[in-house]
Amino acid sequence: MPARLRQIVLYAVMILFQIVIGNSVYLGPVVYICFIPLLVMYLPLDQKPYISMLIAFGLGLAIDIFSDGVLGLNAGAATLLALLYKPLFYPVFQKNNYSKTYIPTVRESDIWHHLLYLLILFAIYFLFYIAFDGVAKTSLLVSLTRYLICIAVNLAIAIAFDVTLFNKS
Amino acid sequence: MVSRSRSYNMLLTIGVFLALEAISIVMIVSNGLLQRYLVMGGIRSVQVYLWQQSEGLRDYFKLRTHNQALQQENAQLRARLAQIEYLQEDAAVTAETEGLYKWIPASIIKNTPNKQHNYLILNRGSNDGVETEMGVVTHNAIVGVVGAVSEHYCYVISFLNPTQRVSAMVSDNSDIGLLSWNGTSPREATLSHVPLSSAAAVGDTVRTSGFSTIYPPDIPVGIVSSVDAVSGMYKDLTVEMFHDVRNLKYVYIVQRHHHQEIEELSKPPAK
Repeated sequence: MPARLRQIVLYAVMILFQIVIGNSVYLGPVVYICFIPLLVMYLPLDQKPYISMLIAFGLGLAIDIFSDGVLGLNAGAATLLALLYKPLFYPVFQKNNYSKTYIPTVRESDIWHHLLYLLILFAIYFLFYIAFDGVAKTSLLVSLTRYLICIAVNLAIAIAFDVTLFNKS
Repeated sequence: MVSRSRSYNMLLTIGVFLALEAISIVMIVSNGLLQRYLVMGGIRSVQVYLWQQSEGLRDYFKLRTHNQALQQENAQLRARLAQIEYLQEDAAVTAETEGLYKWIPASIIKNTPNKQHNYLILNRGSNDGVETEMGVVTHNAIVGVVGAVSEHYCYVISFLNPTQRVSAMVSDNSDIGLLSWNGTSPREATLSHVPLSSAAAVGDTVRTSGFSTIYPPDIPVGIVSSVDAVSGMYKDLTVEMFHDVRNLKYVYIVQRHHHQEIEELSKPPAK
């Protein structure tokens, strides 16, 4: 399968997965499972930033609409991430020459760099998400706990997803 | 030429970023759930039909639990009736305190179970006399406030939502505070702004104060499970709620008669 087509199919599957999980898996009000940082990470690195942002905004908005969330929360966080994922890629992976369809997966890079990159992306994403999801209305301790739990749970899921989906040639 | 194109791209990137973030923040601030409910009314009516069907099936399997809850409520109502009859005999209840509220029984069609911004859909709408800003309660739970109404259904902003604040009091000493969900457990809320001098203790019952036109007074909602002193003049009480709003099926939509008159009087006088 051509790399671009494979990427489109992967996106469609992950969005569907996100919507199904958002509507049927309940892990309490603290945990929010979110694949958007993974989807943003898989955006081609040679893409113009404003196109990446428009794609990310659209993905976030689609998930906001179909999974009973607050409209704009995922869209705003995804847009911010789409602006930063590329500038963050170079210092983390220290890689300048990559193919047009390069995707930073566990198979392509070593686990520690990959983990660090994912951690940064999730940290930025949930910073926006939780800050706008009522940090002024709930206590700082609750928001901080939620922030750390969300990062930990999503990081574990993202790694599992990444390994199972991309660790095959 | 290259640097010109680069700066053009940079400006475009910044412009698109600011525009998209502005759109997102406007959507968040203008309460996305409610907005979407109003905008996507058509889609919602189809969803409501599907929820109703699936809830019907689920209800069948929960009949025993519902029956027990109804029996319990019935017993409490009987006890209350007996108390009122006794008071009436004693000529203590006057016409002024009777029938202060309009009560509309309703059942829950949709209940978001486990999120930060929860909401419910009830099977009563404007045709049944439901209006926005009406309270939704049971005999021992605060459920939420009606946020939007269609002909046959209404959308309720759940108490399990960080935007909701309810005036409540500790029944043993009448100390008033603001009750709000703490965002973690659906059975736990915080009664804040309780005076530092309050003698509230673990085990005290918390009731609605009735100091608003939304909720009737004296609905027991939970018991104090811990008392936390906070700096300043207030303390916070952790309240263990009697009911998990997520498990409710039948509720009452309430409205105080002459509520508009009271709200008009509450407004500051025009200069």
